[in-house]
Amino acid sequence: MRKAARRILRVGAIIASLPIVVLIAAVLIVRFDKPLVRNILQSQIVKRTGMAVRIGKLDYTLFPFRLAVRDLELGMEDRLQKLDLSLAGLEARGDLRKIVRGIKPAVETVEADSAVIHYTQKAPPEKPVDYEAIVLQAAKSLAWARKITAKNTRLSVTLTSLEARLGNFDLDIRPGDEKSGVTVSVSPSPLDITDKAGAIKMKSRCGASATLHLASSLEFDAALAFDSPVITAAGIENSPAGITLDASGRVELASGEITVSRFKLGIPDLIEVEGKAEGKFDQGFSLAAEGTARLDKLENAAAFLGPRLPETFQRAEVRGPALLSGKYRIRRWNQETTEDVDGSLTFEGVEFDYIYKGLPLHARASGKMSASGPLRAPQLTADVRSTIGKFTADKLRVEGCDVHIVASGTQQGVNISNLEAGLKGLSFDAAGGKRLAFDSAALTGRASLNLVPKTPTLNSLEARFDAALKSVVLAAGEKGLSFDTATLKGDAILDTGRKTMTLNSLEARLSGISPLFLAGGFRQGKAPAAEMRLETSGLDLPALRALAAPFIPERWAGWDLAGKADLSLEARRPSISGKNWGFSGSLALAEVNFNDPDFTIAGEGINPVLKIEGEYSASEGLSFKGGLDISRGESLWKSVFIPWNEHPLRITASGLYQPKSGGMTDLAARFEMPTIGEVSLHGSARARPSISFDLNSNARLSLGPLYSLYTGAGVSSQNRMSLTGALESGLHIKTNGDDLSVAGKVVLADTSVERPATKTAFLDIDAEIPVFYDSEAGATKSPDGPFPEEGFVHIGEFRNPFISLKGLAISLRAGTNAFSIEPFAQELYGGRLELGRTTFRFDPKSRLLEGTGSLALRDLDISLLPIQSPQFRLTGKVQAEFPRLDISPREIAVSGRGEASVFGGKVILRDLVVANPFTPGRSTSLNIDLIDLNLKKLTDEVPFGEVTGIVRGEVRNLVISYRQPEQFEFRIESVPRKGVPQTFSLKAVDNLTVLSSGEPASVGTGKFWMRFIRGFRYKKLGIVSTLRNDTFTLNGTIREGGVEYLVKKPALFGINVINRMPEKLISFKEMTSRLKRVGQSEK
Amino acid sequence: MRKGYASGTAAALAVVFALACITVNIYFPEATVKQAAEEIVNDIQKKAAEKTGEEPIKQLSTMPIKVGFSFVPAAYAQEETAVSNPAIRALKEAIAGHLAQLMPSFAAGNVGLTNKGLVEIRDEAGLNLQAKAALRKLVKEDNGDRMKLYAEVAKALNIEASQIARIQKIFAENWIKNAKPGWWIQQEDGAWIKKR
Repeated sequence: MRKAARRILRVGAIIASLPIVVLIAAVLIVRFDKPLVRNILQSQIVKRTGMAVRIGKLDYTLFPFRLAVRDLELGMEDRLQKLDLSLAGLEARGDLRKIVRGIKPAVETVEADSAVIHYTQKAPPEKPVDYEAIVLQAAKSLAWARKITAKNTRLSVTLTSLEARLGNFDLDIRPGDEKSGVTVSVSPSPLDITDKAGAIKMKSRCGASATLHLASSLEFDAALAFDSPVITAAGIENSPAGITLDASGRVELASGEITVSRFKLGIPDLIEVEGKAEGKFDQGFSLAAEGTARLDKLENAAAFLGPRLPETFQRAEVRGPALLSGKYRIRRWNQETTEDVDGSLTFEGVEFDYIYKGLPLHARASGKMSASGPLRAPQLTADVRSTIGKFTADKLRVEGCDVHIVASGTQQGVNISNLEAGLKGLSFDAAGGKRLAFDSAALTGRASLNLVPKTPTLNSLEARFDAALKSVVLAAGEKGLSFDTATLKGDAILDTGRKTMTLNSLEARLSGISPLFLAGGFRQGKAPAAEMRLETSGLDLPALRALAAPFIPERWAGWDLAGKADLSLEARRPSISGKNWGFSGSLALAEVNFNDPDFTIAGEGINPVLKIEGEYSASEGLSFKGGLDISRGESLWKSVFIPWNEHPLRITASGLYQPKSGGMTDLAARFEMPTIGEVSLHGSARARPSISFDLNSNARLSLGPLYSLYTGAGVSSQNRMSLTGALESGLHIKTNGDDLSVAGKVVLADTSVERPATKTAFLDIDAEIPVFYDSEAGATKSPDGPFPEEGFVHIGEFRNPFISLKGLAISLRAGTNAFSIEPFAQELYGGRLELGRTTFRFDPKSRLLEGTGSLALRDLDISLLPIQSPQFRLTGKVQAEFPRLDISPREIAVSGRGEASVFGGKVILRDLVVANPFTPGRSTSLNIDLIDLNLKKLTDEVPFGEVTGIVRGEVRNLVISYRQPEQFEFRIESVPRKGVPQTFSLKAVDNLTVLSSGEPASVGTGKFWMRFIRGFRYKKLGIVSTLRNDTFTLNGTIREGGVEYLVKKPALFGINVINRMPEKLISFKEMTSRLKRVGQSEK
Repeated sequence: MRKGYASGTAAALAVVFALACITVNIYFPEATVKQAAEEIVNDIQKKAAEKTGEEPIKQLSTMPIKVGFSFVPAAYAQEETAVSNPAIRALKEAIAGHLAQLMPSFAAGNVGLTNKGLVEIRDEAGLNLQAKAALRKLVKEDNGDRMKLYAEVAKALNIEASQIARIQKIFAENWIKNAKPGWWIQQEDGAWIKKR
């Protein structure tokens, strides 16, 4: 037993001493055979790690422990990755006992020199990387050392998509304890990161420091600094001064949860980002982050982004600060990813400058824009106030604009819940050179936008606008409407979804005129419905006229106008009718006064009401019907005065207008004046190429009331006529530009005309007067025709103080621009009047009416002629033969002669001409031959005093104007006739003396004795008298011995009448006086 | 050579000076026109007064109405004006008729006498359209006849038509001189006053 025990003890001792021996041997080997140790170590590392190892030189001491390696190379490669590590030198110092005993940290320092690390990822890992194990292993490994440093280190990492190189950096790792964690610092060194796709490249000097708690709950607190980085992304290079990145947090490696409690990114003068995040990486992935990004200078951000911005924004200059804050959440699970955002962009006083079509645009904006919800379709809200300076867009110009928009929406659409826009100096150049200029305009409303199309479209817009205009000019060419001020106020809804537009109200207040109210609605589509209403009341006509002055023709410029107007227009297009527009309107004028400068056309207190309605379609044209009523006030048109309350007027009209052709068909118009009659028109009209009509007119008028319109103004009561009867007409009226033709008949029935002042009357007139006028045609040349139209004038009775005729029947014929009075004969003054065919022709070009005819008088009894006087009585017959009368406005020339058998002789009238026959200043000229007048018969009738004898004479160049003799040359001489005494009574001598000298017979005649002498014989009587320039001459034709005799006595007894003052001129006044005295002497 | 040139220049200047001193005298017998104007205006106003009944109507207006033609029509028998012819007599008659009708309008201040021998509407307040129309028509006709009268006077006195304005002015003085107190008259400077 003891032996066994001793054996056991001996074996045991051997066994026990074996490790000691081994240990001693090992110590000896280690101590003295370092190459062997190096080889052993090298093989052990290979064996344990699978890495290729080459140790150039190994040196060490055990107490104190020091390990130094030179030219160490490690390598590992598999199909997924490759790692190469080379060190120029590595030295570790520590306590071997602690190493042996496993007390950490056993190594005080580990110093590496000129390490070069190359890591290449060949392919992504096939199974999840056990980061926890790696971290724990790392923690465990690092825990051996108290301090690890690496100098002149170079790191090269090549991933499948990225290459990164960090060169010549010093690495300092202080593993610390569990509480303090691992402190790592990397000295600033060149960093080169390149995205293999070439999208991103970064070069910088990068330094970093971090504190890591390497455990299952990995905590970190890291700071990175990039100095003068050069970042190239998408070919665009940026060079900020630097980038700083600070982050701290924790990673739960087991559960894959990440918490970044602090994150801060700073790029000087560009952006500062602060935030935090939480995430989880396990079978899925989730991350929630929140933070703020402050951009103090958006201009720097814009410059940084540079070409990455849309081209439009690149031309813009932005200045000012902006703050972006928000939360971001992402969750990926079973290949499904959800992303949510909740962020806002706040900016205050951001300046925006932009060059639009060469013109600068400046804006200043403040506000907040928010987005929340899924990232793919976030809910967006915005509350932005912006002040925009002067800008021009096409024909729109704005001096300044304040805009406040409150909106919400998605990527598909935006709802603008509140839009407030205040514009100053808004002007819009409309077509035709018209400009609409607003001094200020305010727009409030709501709208929705559809953002799905490339170009955003407006879904709906509810707008209320209030605009003020100053010095508004609506120009059309060189003319324009001008308003000192104007305001527009309205409320409208545009719904593009329903394709409707509703103008609830539009109130336009233009300076000088009453407000205009407009409302309407419009729907697009196959059956578009629309309606529009325009109303205004109390429209001041003078103000309206003043506004429209540039468009008023010059000939209307001097007219006065006053009054008010109420206007109502309505247009509608029901969807049922498709393309047809219906419209109606009324225009009511009140107390309208107007007149032309000469007051030949005027109106006062007129209240016309115009109503119109109709329908329009592009294919059928514009059909309309309307009416005009005038029942108050008074009007004047030249000499026609119409008191509308006594003669109310109603006009109705209808027709179909074709805008394309400018033609109007089925035109019908009716003018009704119940007190007078009516005129109706129907036919067609055209507006192009010139205004033309083709109308049939029918009229039925009462002449009495119609004539009363003429006498109402300007006709004195003594000059008024009495007119009764009826007029009917049927005329075909055609106009084409300036051409006019009228054809038809005018019928008078039971018509009577009386003029009390002259006691002239035409009674019981029935007439049918053909009208045949054509302004383009010449007058019918031949007096004999063709005069196809027949007519007549029947006058029951014609009477005046001088004549009375009954049963006059005159036949008429008419041809183009000509008419004729057919030959007729009429008993007259015991004889007969025969009027030959008298033809009148009108030349439309010269507007001259000329006529020709003939006239004959047969055996008119002079005693019946109205030339008798209580002072004398004439007897005899009158014959006249005027084979040709030439009648024109200038004169009536009469060929032929008239002959009156009076006083035993004849008076012959010839060379009769009436100048200006149709004017008050007409003058009649003629020559008169006096043949063998018996002075006895003459002086028996004329209160001159008895004279006997036969005389012959003449009146030449007799001109009568204003019913007075204007000039003549009168000559009369006695003609000795056997058996006819030649005597002068004393009275005749006296009167002749009075006429010639202005005084009674000379004293030498001895009145007392003379009363016993019945008559004085004379040898010759010769008198010549002239009238010219209102001055008479009266002379004798007998001159003997230097004496001028009016009457020369025979050789023995008789009487001489001597003109003592042959040169004396007698004024018209004097002669009037002498004639008066001659006339009175009879009494 | 220079002397001859100077002489020619002097002669030319003398001719120019002489031509510049020529005065064209247009015949205008002012005294005759004044006399005629006075007579015509007096006559017209006399006739107008007769028509309005302000003075007794003269006897020669009683000529029988049956007389269709006479060397001395009744209406013109009271001729007293040296410058006269049938047209002047007719125009005087017409103007007298107008003046008779315008008397109330002159008195009411509706019309006034201008410094050109015409009538001008001054105030239409209180007149309805019918009255305005009648007044304007009457004034227009009257002014037309007045201008014809002045032209006829010029023609009768062999005065050029270009001198009618002077005739108008002389007539205007007479119209205004004979205007009744209270009538509107236009002064030389164009201002309107009521005659005292």
